[in-house]
Amino acid sequence: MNTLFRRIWKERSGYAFIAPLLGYIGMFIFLPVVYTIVLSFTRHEFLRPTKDALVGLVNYVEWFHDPAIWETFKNTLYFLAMYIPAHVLYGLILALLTNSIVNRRVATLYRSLLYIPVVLPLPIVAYAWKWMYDPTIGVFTHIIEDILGLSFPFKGWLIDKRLAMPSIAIMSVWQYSGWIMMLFLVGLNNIPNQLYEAARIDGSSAWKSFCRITLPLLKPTFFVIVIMRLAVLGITVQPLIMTEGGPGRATMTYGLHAYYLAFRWGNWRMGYASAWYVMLALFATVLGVMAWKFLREESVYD
Amino acid sequence: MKKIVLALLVLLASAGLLFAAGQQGTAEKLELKGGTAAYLFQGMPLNDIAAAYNAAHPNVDVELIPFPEDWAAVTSKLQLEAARQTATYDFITAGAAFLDVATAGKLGIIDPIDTYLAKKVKDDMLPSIQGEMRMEGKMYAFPMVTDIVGFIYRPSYLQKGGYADPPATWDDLLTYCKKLDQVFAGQEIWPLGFDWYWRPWGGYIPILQSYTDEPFPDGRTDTSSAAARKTLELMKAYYPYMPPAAAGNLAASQAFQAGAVAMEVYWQPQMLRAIQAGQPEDDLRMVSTPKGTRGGTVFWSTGYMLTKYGKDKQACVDFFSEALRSRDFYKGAIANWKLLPFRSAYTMVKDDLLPFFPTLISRLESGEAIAIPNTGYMMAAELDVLREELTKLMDDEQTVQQTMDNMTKRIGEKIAAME
Repeated sequence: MNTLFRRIWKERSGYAFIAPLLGYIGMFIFLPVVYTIVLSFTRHEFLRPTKDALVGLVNYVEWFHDPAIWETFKNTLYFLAMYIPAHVLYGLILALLTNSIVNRRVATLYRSLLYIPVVLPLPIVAYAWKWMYDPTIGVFTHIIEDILGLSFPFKGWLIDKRLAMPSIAIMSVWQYSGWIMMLFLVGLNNIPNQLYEAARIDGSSAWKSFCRITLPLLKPTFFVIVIMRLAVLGITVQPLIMTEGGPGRATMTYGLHAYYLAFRWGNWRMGYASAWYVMLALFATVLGVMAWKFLREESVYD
Repeated sequence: MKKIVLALLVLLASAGLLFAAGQQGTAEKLELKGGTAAYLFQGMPLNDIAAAYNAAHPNVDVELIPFPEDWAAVTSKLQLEAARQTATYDFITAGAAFLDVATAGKLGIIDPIDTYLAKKVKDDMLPSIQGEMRMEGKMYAFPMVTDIVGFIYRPSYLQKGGYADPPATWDDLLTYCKKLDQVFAGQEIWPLGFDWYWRPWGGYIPILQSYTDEPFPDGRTDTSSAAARKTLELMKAYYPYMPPAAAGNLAASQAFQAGAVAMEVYWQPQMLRAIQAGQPEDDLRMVSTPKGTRGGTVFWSTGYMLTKYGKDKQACVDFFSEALRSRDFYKGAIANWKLLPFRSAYTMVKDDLLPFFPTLISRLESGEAIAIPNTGYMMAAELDVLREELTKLMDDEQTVQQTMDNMTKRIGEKIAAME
């Protein structure tokens, strides 16, 4: 302990510089996480506050027996199965396209435009897309039926059980692909040009260069994206605003169900909802460790 | 030099005296803070009436402070404050009594207003609305404006089907739907808009309570009686005549505002929104909802609640009683197509009433229009179950009987867990 204090004292100016950030992380990230964990061991119901409500593992036992777990996990994984590949692919395509623009100003303009959706507040984007998805007055149906003259085969984007979750996924892909594009651009710019030149000299085609050079060297970027996108396991805002978990429960994700447990249903069971969130965090941690173990590679630039 | 110092001293002394006088004046003024949902300021002259009240009562300074419509966050704040026996707001809005009075009452963060309410004000309040504001026998909110579900239609669309008048009964409505469906075949106009998915009080409840005197046995929505069966059968029968948007949140009402729907069951501001969306005012009518075995509909009121640890509750209620019953407030509310909870309103601003208001007001006065009980069951236990089971019914995944059984069972379990 003395050694630790001595080391901290020795580096005190450095710690002083990061103290504000540590304070922020402590107050707005660490403390809420700790409080959520503590709450998960209580029978805390917001609309019926009780003292001495520590109940040990009761919430976790209930969680294991809750049939809603499987349905909401299934819906969440369904969303992820569509969302992650689509927005990684779309982000990669955008990065390759903007990276191939010779004029730097034009390239910067396109990148800026494509990044704008990322900085828009998610609730506003969700509301806007909800309007665009409206089956009567929405622009998408209008384009398909009135401009292209096709027949729309579903009841509606957000009101047909088959299409509701894909519609949410499409909106999410649109919003965040700009960010993925930026990550891939960083990765692309880190690939030495000599490798492409050498491949060209050896007679390699563009597609072969892409498969043999670009993709392998982008693996660290893929890894970063997968780790960062694990946060999507808790998707709540989009289904909350666009469908409220409907039609039926087709878009009732794990995060939305937990949110309703805490703020809508019954007596607002925050203790039980906290257990839901803790279990989600554990699941995300396990996934992250597995991703770390299987996807991480040593730097190819060594 | 001495003169300068003397002048400065006199100046300082004067400033000090003035400051002390100002403080003295401020100390005597009672400052009341009213937390008000931000959307209520749109179109409603709340700031104006507060300013007028403050001008008329120099010892009181009422400030209406907007807060975002995030009731979970607001109640968290209020509950934390109540635990410390403090209150930022002396009074707060209840967006709809059955939603907010129930929640706030359960938390114990509001106080009844009965003891502060003058008899003449209580007598002026429509009895149905007095009942709406009650929980466990006490009034917990002072009503501001009222909304009621009615029947809106486009006379020109009905005339194309050969109808001069709106349907009198729910069964008649089905006949109208079938005829109009033939008339508008191939066009993007649907006979009926009915936001059955959005909220039960926009669909299920208006029909239900026209077939029973007891739509809320033990405070929960009836899902098991013959009236419930009839309601579900009618909703299922109407479904093919609704725009697909009806299965989404509020989307049928948007279709109506776009001129794509001939008839709609919804609240009275919907007419205003349709006009604002460009629909011709002279081709819009509103009447009471069709009848079942009885007339009736559902209504809800927005109002103010007293926070438990707020200042001077009598002064708050005095503000409500005067400012929310003033001619300026009445006129502003009516301009927003809101109904008013007080008898005096309909005398004071008789000339400003919209033509269709009397038929809706008569439902309020007669008691035919009913409020959802302040049990808290609607949002906490019923809303999502009703939507999910209705979706299955509409999608032919289950029969009417199965829908009734599932609704009854699931809602019963949720209420039991709450209790």
